[in-house]
Amino acid sequence: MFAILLVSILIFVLIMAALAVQIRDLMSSVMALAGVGFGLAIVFLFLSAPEVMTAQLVLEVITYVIMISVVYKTSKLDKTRKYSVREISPAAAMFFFAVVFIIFSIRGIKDLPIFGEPLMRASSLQIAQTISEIGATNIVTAILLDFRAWNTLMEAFVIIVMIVGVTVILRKKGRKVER
Amino acid sequence: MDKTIRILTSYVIGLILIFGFYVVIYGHILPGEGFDGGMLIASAFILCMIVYGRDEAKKRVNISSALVVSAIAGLLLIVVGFLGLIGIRDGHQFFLDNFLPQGDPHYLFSGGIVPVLNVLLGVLVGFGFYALFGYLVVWRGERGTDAEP
Repeated sequence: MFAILLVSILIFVLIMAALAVQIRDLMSSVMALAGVGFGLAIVFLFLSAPEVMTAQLVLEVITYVIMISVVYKTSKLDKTRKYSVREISPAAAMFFFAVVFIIFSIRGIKDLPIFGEPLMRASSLQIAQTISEIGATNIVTAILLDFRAWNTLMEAFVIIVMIVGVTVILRKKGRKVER
Repeated sequence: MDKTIRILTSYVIGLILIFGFYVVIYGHILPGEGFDGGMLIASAFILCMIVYGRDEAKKRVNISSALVVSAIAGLLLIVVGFLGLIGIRDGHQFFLDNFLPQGDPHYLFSGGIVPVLNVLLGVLVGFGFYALFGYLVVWRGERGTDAEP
């Protein structure tokens, strides 16, 4: 029952999104976008994320106030032209590559581990060996500075290179006088 | 800046610095790490620079020497890494090896080279970002008001 409700709300959101792109009357388009936003807010509420729902609601309301004011100040009709024949070939290419991508991604998803199974071959080893091998209690620091110290070293070099670059660009001495 | 902000900053800066050094030194026991503590130290310096101006902050910590200090800390990181190649521990001869003794967990002197690298990273990030901000800022304080970089 719950899943059916959720899926129906998501289908409503999809329909509203398609309408928002296709409708020529801009005010109706904004209303369809509002349907998308508030449908998503309801979905967030059902998925027990009320904090995200409040942020979504506030952002939606502010966005629609701005959008409606823009529509009132400018034109109320979408005057861009519809699809012509010349745009068919890029669209066809896009669909072709989308189908290819979906086929390859399905083949790739089959090799992934089952949802919910633990996949921690490396990190379980690190968690088990941190105290006995290194002796540091903070596992994050032990991983950053012992198991993956190369990574941290290169990050430090990135910082130094950035600072030296800024220094070289903004230096005063050794610069030619501009005429 | 405002007189209120100047006085409040003089009270706050010491606390921020102490907290930054605490996070750096205790990085292998408690939450936090060299990067985070270094950013705290740099933020204390940068606060001083924003409130009192660049010339006033230059008198405390020289900007170019701060850059040199951070570069030296980066070189010391490589030196500590090559010390692992000597083979102080038996059978462990690779770059960035944990060659120091472990010590007891939950104590300050534990974890091999992890606290050493922590302190070096803290110095690198703190002084480095201070130098970066010092080269980028144009606010020279109350007396010199011209915005020459």
